[in-house]
Amino acid sequence: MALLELDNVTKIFGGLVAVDSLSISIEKGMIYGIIGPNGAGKTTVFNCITGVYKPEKGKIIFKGKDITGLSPHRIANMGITRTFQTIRLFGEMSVAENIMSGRHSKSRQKWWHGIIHTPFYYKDEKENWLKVREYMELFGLTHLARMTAGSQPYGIQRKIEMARALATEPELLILDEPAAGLNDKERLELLETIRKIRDMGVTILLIEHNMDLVMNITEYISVLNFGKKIAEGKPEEIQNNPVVIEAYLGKEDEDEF
Amino acid sequence: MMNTKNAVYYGLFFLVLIVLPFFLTSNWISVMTTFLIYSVVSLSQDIVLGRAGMFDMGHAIFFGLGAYSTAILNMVYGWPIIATIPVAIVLPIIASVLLAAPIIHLRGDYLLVTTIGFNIVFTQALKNNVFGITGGPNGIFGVEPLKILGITFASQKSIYFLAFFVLLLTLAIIHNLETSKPGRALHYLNLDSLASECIGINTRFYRLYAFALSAAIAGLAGVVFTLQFSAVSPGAFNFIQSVLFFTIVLVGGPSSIPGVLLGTFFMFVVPEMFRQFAEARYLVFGVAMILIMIWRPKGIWPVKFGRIPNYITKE
Amino acid sequence: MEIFLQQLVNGLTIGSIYALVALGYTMVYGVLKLINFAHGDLVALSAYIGLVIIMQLAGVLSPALLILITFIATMIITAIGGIVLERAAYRPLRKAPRLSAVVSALGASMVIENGIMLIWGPMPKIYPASVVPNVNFDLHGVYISLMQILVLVISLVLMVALYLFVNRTKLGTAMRACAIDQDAARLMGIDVDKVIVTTFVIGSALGAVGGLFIGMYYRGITFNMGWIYGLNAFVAAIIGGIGNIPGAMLGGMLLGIFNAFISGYISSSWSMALTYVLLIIIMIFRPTGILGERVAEKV
Repeated sequence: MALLELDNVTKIFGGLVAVDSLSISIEKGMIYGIIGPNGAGKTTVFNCITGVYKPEKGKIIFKGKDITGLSPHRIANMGITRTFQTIRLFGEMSVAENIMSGRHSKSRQKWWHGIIHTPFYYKDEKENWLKVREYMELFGLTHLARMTAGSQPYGIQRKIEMARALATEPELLILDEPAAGLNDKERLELLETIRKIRDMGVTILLIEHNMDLVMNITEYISVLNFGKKIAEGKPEEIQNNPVVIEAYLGKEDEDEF
Repeated sequence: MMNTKNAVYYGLFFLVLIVLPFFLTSNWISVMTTFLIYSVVSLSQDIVLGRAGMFDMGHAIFFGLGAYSTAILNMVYGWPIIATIPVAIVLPIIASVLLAAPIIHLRGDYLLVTTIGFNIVFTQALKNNVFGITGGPNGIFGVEPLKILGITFASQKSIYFLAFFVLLLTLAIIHNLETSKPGRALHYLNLDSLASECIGINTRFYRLYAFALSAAIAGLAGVVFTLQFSAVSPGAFNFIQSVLFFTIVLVGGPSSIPGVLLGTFFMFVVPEMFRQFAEARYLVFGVAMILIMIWRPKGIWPVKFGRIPNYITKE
Repeated sequence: MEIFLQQLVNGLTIGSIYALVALGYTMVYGVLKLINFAHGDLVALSAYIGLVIIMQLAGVLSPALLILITFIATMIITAIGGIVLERAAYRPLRKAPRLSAVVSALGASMVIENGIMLIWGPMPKIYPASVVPNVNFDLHGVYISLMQILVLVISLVLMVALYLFVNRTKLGTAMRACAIDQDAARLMGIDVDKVIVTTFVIGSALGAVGGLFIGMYYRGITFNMGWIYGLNAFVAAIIGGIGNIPGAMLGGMLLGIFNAFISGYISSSWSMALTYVLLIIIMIFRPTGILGERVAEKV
């Protein structure tokens, strides 16, 4: 059984069909890529999967359960975590507190622990802060623990966001253009990181425009254009697929050479 | 956990408050008692406005529900004060959830106006003597004092210390909130609601939680208010009062305990100090509010994030 | 039936006044996304200023000329008040968090309200009865006074003028642009500061007309009337769709009629409360108001 399945998912905004009958199947342990020209509907697909949008038609099935239209926090609690194209950190809070937000779904504190601190509270707090430390160390952020997240350089903010996402211990991690704005060194680090994450047992679904990264890291790709899937296959197949090339570069003019 | 510097500051603050009533005139003890009560309400308002970021301009409702619960149960139904306290806490909780649930998703300004609306309906209902028990525009007089274990809290000083105790309790709760999962959730959903949802935070639940907790605390403050005056009236819980609590949080510093306390002092005690300038003081006050916002848009004593346990950064 | 029509006439009259005041709220909100809490107090101020002018000039001028000069002078003075308000309390906070501007607005409201109290005292002041000749017209048992006709006609004229201004002139279009996206407007070469000042000028001037009508129609004015009329007008703006100019006009009218019918058929002590119940219902089911638009957020 596939980990995540999209079955003819359609999302319409007013008159615009943003996602058109999309069907995708992602196996556990895969690194799956979704690519396509700008405006092809890729982020909209992510938003549908994570519950930010409710598709007009179709179903989204995760671990055999229908998650279509569930609220984002429920989907997150089921094991799907995402990052954002524009990093959405809690800018005014510290780096450690940002990563701690990822532990929210894992912490078992109840509402009364906001009023009274029981022995269970102390145990739970310590466990989760130690986990935060783990993730900070994984990304080399420990020395920045108390610094304001919003004032960090872009590359560091990307790492904080990644650490926060990992802190939720997801089964499926959705990355929305994780390489955007990174320099070469940072991109290499990212490749490493994604491989490490997969080796931890997390399935990865990513949108990316950087073709080097996509060809390098993904095992299977779906290509979208105008909301429709126009091709799917292994990276080498996609690279040479004329339909894909046309979508990105436009039709070849026969008079040119 | 608090560091030593903060502990010293709070210690000094409490010491001053404990010693104060023995040096003040009766009038000033009354002012300071109200300061303590208003601090509690403002701290509760801060949970909703400062932490969770919801524009609640009707908080006086919960304060008033607590106050009126005690007054009505005691005067109309003869309950001893101590028995009214659970009602004064639970009734505002229920009210807050009922009122907030249908409007919790509204954008800031819409929420603000709706809460004003609730407040106005509330005070009108009080004035119109609904169900015949609210005493109309003049309110209810002659409420008994609190009696616990044979001790009667009738004197002015005893009520001052009762208010002080409630403030201590509130500070303890808010401190616990700040370092807990629900407390952090409020900050997260305030700073970025969408990111919070996607990370697994049930924003709707925590928003209602913020309302419920703050209503409970405000209700408790209401009990002390009723005991201070042995009376309640609608005028003490109108929307102008809500505006006061709202402003205190923003002027003092949202999410900041010292900020809110300072805000209450500035917005309530300071005008009392200038009573002799009776008419001009509020005008000067308005000017001060504008200037403070221009000079310190995040409040007089803004919040500082980054209070994390030491053991995660030590080698 | 006569009662119904009578309440309708009364409702439209007070509705027009609400509409004039509501326009000030909605225009400022549209451009600055700020609830100008001090607007109601400027309206109150205009009522007082109008009274001063009338007392000075009554008996010297004919009624028509008196009204004309009073209106124009009061509108100008109140508009200046609006400009000062914007400069002092709002412009310094353009980059600050939204809530800081709200507190500043509340502070400004306190300044104006207490300023009025310091100058003119806490007791209500009464407008003379004869500013507008006390003439009534009887249409099949429905009474409509000259005053009411004046209110309805002048309000209509002003609202039409505003509508034409906003939709047909360059400055009006600039206002609409700023309401949609201030940064984009600035990049297109629109002088955003000028637009904002204009918004305050027009909003305050219209509010001044409203304030004068309140004084002339209800006769009694107090220093804290700003909040009472202001909140009602604000509710009207929200019902119609905050930021939407025709919405404010529609909202004002509807609210006036609603108020008149509640007062006429039920009781006036519940009138204010029921207005807010109406508001709450609209906020729950259609928060963007009758004519308001839904705006989606891009993720």
